Amino acid sequence: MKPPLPPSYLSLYRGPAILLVLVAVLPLCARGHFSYLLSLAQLCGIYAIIVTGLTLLLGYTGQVSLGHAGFYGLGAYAAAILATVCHLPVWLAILLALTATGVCMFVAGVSLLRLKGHYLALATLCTGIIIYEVITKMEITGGAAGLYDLPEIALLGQGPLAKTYLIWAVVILVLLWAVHLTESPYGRALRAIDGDEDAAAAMGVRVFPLKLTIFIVSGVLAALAGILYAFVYSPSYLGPEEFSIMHSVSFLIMVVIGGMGSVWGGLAGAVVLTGLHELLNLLGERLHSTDMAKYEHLVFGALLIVILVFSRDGMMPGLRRSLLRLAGKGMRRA
Amino acid sequence: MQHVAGQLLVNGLILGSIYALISLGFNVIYRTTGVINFAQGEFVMLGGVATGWAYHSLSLSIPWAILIGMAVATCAGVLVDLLAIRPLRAASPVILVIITIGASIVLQAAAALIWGTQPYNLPVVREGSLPFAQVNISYQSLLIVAVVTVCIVLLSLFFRCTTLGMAMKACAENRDAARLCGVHTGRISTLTFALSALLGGIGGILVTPLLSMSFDNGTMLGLKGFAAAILGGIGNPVGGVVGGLLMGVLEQYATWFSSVYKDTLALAVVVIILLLRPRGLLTK
Amino acid sequence: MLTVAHASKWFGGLHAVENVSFTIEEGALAALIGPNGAGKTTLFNLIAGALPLTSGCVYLAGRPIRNVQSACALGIGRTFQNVRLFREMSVVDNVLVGLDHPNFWTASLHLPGLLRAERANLKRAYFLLEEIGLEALATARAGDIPFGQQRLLEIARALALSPRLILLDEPAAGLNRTETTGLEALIRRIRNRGITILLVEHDMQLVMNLAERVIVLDNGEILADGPPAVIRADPRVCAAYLGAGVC
Repeated sequence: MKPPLPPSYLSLYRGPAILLVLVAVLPLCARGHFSYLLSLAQLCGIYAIIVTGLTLLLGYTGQVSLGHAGFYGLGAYAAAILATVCHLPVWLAILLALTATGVCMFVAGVSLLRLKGHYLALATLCTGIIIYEVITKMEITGGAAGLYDLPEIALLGQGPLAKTYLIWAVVILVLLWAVHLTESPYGRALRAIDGDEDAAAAMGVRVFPLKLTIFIVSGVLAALAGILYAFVYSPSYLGPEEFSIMHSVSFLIMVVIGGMGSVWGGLAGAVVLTGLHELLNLLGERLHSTDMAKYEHLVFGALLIVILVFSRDGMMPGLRRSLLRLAGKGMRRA
Repeated sequence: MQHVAGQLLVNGLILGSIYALISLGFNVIYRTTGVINFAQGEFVMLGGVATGWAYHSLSLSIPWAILIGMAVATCAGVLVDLLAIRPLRAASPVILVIITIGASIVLQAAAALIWGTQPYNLPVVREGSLPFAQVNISYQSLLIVAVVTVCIVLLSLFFRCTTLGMAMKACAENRDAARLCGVHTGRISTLTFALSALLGGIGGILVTPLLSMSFDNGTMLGLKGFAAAILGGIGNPVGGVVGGLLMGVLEQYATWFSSVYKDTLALAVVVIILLLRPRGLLTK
Repeated sequence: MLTVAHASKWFGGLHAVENVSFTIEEGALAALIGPNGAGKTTLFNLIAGALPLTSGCVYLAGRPIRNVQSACALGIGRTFQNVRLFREMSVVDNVLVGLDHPNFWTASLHLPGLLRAERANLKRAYFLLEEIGLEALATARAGDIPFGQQRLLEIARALALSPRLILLDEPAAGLNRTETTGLEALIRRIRNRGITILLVEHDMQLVMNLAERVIVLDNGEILADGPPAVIRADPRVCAAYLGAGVC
C-alpha cells in the first residue's frame, strides 16, 4: 500500500493567511466606535501572543503556570525601565528584557520541570505574586502610580489603526511559528509527552529538554507581549494593574476556552474572553453597578469550572464533539 | 524590657500555628484524594468573614457566630467537592489544579458580593497578655496554640482510631482497592473536603481577632499554608506543621528587614527552597 | 549482547530483584517467566533503564545502561505490561514518534530537510504497519482500535526504533487464541531479522513454542535458566510455578 504523502506544508499557511485578510479588513470596517474597538483589538492581540505560549505549555506538555502575568509584566517593566531610566535605545532594551526573561525561565525550569506539576504551579504562582508586589512597591517602577511617557514604537505609522496592524502582524508571525512547530515531528513529540511521558521517553523522545524549551518559549512570548503593551498599546502610561494574579488566571481561562490542544483555539479563547470582559464592563455601566469587577470574577471562575466539567480538554473541542454527536456522526476522529 | 527577636519568634510561632492548621487542611485532602486544593485559603477566609458578619451584622453572641462561621466554611468545602471535584474524578492533576483555582476565584467573588469588601473584626478572647521571659504572649495567642494543638491531636486520633479515619487512609493508599472493600469513595471525598474546610474555617476564626479578615485575604493565607505543606514535604502532616511554624517565623523576621515587602520576602524564600530542595526540607 | 550483572533493586525493605545475573547472546529469543510478584516487570524496567539499580549493572553490547535515554540510544525497544500507547494520536503517529528526531529550529522554520525526512519516515512507518498488519487502521485514533491490535501497535512502535534488543512485557495478555497465533508468527518474523528478543509471558504454550532459552524468576532471584525442555523437567520450577499440567 502506498503511503500517503505528508500534508503539504502549504496548508499550514492557510490559517494565518485567512487571519491576515481578516486583520487587514476588519479594522477598516469599525466605523463610529473606531478608536475604542481598535484599542480592544490591540489588547486582544497582545493576549493572543501570551495565550499561544501558554497553550503550548499547558496543552502540549501538560505543565501549569499560574504566574504568566508575572512574565508579561517582567517583559513590560524591564524593557520600560531600561529604555527610560537607563536611557538605552529601545531595540536594546527590548533585546535585554527578552533575554533576561529567557534566562529566568531557564533557571526556574531546570529545577522545577523535573518534578510533579504542583511544584511548578506553586512556584509560578509565587513568582507571579512576587513580580506583581515588586512592581507595585518599588520606586524605580513607579510603584502603584506607574511609569509615564515611554518611547513609542510606531513601525507602521502613527495612530490606532497602524498600531493595531503592528500588533496583529506580530500575532500572525507568532501563530505562524506555533503552527509550524506543532505540525512537525517536534509537535508530535510534544503530544507524545502529553499522552504518556514515560512511554514517550522509552521511544527516544527527549522529554526534559522539550519541556524546558517550551517553558522558556512561553515565558519569552509573554515578555514580548508585555513589551508590545508597554511600547505600542499604551506608551503614555504603564501601570501594575495589568499584571495581577487575576490576569494570570484569565490567560488560563483563555487557553481552557480554546481547547488546550490547539493554538487557534487559544486565539479564539483570547477573543472570546476579551469580548466577554468588555461586555460585562458595558453591562456594568448600563446598570450603574460598582460591583461589576466582582461579578466578572465570579463569572470567570464559574466559567473555568463549568467548561472543564463539561469537557476535560477545553470548550472548543467539547463543543465540536457535541455538535458532531448532534449531527449523528459519532465521536470517531479520522 | 522587650526582647525584639524573641517577640518576633513568639509572634511567628503563633502565626505559624495558623499556617500549620491550613497546611493540615491541604495535606488531609492531598493524602485522601490526591488533589491539591488551591481553594483552601478561601475556607479560612470564609470562616473569619462569616463569623465576623454573624457577630456584627446579626449581633449574635460569639459562640453562635463561631458556629455559623464553621458551618459556612464547611458548606463551602462540600460545595467545592460536589460541584467541581467529583465530576472530574479521573481528570489529570493539571486539570484538578485549574479547577480548584476556579473554585477559589468563585468563593472569593461570592464572599465579596455577599459580605462586602470591608474587613471584619472579632474581639479577642481576653484582653491583655502574659509576660514570659521578656516577651509578651497575648491570651488570644495562647488560645490559638491551644486550639491548633487540640485539632492536631484530634485529627491524628481520628485517622488512627476511627473507622471513618481509616477508611480515608485507605482511600489515600489505593482508591480502587478501597472501593472494592466497600468504602464509599465519593462520600469520603466529600467528607474530606468538609473536614479540611472546617479546619481552615477554624483557623480563620482564630486569626481574625488578630489580623482582621476581608474577602481577599484568603489567597495569601492559602498560599502560605500550601508553601508550608510543600516545605514539610507534601503529604506529610507533621512536616506541614513544622513547615507552617517555619513560614510564620520567616514572615515575622522578614518584617525586621522590611514591613512593606514582608509577604514578598516570605514568598521569595519559598521559591528559592522550591528551586533548591523541592521535595521539602524534612525529607531525605 | 545483553549482560545483566548482579542486578538488585530494593524498594525500602522489599528486595524486588536480588542479585540477578545472566547473559543473552545476539539474535537469541529468551523468555522470562515466574509467578506474579517475582520481579519480572521490575527486572524489565531495570534493563530498559526506567528504574535505577540499587546495585549491579546492566550492559548492552558492553555499554552500560544508566537511564531510559541511554537504553534508547543503545537500541532497546520495549512494550509495557499495561498497553501505554499515545491514545489521542493516530496509529501511524504512534509509530512515527519512534522514527522522528525532532529539532526545535528545523521544526520552527520548516527547513528543507524536514519534508524529506518526514517522507522517508512515513514510508518506513507504513512499512512497519504492513508488517504488523495494521496499515488499514493507520489514520485511526490509537485509543479506539481493538485491544489485540493495540498490543500489536505497541510492538510496531518499539520496532520503529530499529532496536537491537526488544523487550516484550506480556504481549499475549488479553489476546484470544487466534491473536496469540498471529503474535507468535510476528515474534518469529522479528527474530528472523536478527533482533534479540526477551519476553515476559504467562502463556506457557507460547513460551515453550518460541523460546530457545527460559529464565525463571522467583522472589526476585533466578530459580532456573536453560532451554525449555530442561526448565519443564525441573522439579523446583514445577513446584513454584508451572503446575502439574505442564510437568
